[in-house]
Amino acid sequence: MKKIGCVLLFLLCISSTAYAKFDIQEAIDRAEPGAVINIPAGYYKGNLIVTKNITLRGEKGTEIAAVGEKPAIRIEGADAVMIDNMTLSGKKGIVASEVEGLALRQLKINDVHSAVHIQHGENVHIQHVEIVGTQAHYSKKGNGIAIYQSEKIVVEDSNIKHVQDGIYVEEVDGIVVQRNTVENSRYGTHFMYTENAKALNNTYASNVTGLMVMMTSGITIKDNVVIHHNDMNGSGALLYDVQRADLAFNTMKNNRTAIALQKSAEVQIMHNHFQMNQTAIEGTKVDDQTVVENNQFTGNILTARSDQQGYRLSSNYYDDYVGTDLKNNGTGDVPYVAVSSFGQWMVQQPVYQYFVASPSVVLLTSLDQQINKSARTVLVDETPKLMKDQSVKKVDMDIAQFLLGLFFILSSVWLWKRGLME
Amino acid sequence: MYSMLIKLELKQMLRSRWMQLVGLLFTFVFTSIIVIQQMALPDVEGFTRQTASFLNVLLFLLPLFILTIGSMSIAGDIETGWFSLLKTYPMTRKQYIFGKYLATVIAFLLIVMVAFGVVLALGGLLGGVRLPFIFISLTLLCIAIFTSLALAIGAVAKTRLFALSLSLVLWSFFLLLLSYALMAIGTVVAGHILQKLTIIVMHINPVEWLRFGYFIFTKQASVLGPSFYNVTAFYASPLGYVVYGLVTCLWVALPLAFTARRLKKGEKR
Repeated sequence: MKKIGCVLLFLLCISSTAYAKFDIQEAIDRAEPGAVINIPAGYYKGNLIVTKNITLRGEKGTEIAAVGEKPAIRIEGADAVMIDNMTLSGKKGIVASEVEGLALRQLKINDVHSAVHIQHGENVHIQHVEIVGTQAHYSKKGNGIAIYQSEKIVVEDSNIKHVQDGIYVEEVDGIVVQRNTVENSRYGTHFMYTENAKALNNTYASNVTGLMVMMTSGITIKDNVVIHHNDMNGSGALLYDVQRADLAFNTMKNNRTAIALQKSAEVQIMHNHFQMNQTAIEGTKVDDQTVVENNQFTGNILTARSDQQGYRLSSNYYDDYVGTDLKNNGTGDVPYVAVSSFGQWMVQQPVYQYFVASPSVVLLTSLDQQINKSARTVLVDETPKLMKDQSVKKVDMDIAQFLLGLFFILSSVWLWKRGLME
Repeated sequence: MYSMLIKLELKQMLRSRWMQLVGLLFTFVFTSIIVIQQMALPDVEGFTRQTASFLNVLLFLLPLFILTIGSMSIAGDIETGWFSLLKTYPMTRKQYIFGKYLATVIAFLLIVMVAFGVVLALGGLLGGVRLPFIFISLTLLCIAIFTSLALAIGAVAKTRLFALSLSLVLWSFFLLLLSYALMAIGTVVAGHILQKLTIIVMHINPVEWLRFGYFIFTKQASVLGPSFYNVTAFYASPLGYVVYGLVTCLWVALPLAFTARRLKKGEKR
């Protein structure tokens, strides 16, 4: 009897799920339009439906778990709905359609297939949302925040990881995506058929591609940090069939290709920092209005590559520029030639990528730069900058490493001498 | 007798002015490039221009020095009659070859130890310079494979001058010509054929084999592009590691076996 009691006590202790008794759906049904429903802390299971103007506000520890395929909260045909301060779990988090004035704030959505899905929304404001998807292949996951056929959308200050696309935007007119972080997903933010979009101050790290922009016109991508996109087909930002795009003041670091432009027009790439990418900018079928100006290129294996059309390079800083500035005006006296035979081959035949930065290609590129300086018409910067914002690298002395080095030198010299004596 | 031979060979190797100059040159070039690159560029994980430089310095210089010195050493023995004299001692051909191999490997290990020591010491003083473990491993593999190849060249050449020229030809063939030939072929054949040819060349060119190993063991095979997904996925698996080890062993064993065969043939003549 004592043993059974102990077992029961143990089971009671390890059981963390205690279902709350508050009936949220009943409260929603009863609420007058404009009402605020405060949901007490607790674990709730169910699929809520909201069809009127209300605020659902949780307390610390409020969690709603969706049952089955339906979302935890469905919002339909309602104006001015706010969901605030709660945790959602289950297969789907929030699905909203035909809504105007929707606000989603302070939400944690864990282990979901798709977290937020909005269709035909207007004036939607999503902020401080933490989304963690599941550990599965991208094809088996849903999106973090997906917005379809909507207008006037703001998504800000959210952290998203392990989903298919962090923020998926399709057929939206007027969207601002700012101060978000998307990691370990397929695409950080994916714009499709969208107009008047802005991606500002976001951090995209270790996704397949940070920013995927397709069939979109009028987009501003500014002040973002795009790092560690090194997968087979990965890029920091990929623009396909895009018109009128401004990419400015972004830091693109350690990506396979920092910016890939395909079939795009009127793209302005200005004041960005390209550091340590395998290829900084790649362009195919890009129009002659596309300009790459006043950027800094440091430590990239290939600065630029393109098809025959190329794109315009102007007044950029290149760390591998070897020209002089006899006029002392901060601009190099001879043009910088970014084009390399190998880079162009790689665009035409992807198999050539195997040779990237191999000894043979390094030699070929050096010869290219010596031979083809005047002959090229594409990917030539006539006014390369020689100065950049100099930042002094912090020097940290490592005594242990120094001593180890000294040990290696002395012991090898000693061994050498010993070898000579014997 | 066997250990005496190794000591003697090592002594000769270390005494050689050429070897000493090579040691100085390698240390100077290796250190300058690595320190300048690492000091000038931000510290970033992954395959960057600085890691590419690191890899290329290693692949350019070390095979060149090993092939020339190693091949001339054995060819010199044959040319001067030292090898014939050694045969009068109670020592087998295999012992001679292994002695030569070990002596050359040890001599080059000392050279890279000095170079790595200087890089580490300078890195410690200046900060921001590291010596990744994979580069150390790759250097050891490089010495093991190219010393073996050098002996094979020396056995074929028989005179020091011929050994030197043959080494240079083979070095440029592995480093540059084979890649350029493939790139040229790529302009006239379909992508999938070029991909298959590249995979073959990867296995029959020790420089490419070491470079490929770098990408596999640093888990950066994506650098090689999606066309090589299957082959990189295989070599990144446990079985792939075993196969990589076996192929590397073959690259050491086959040239040594070939050397033994050549010397035996020479003796018969």
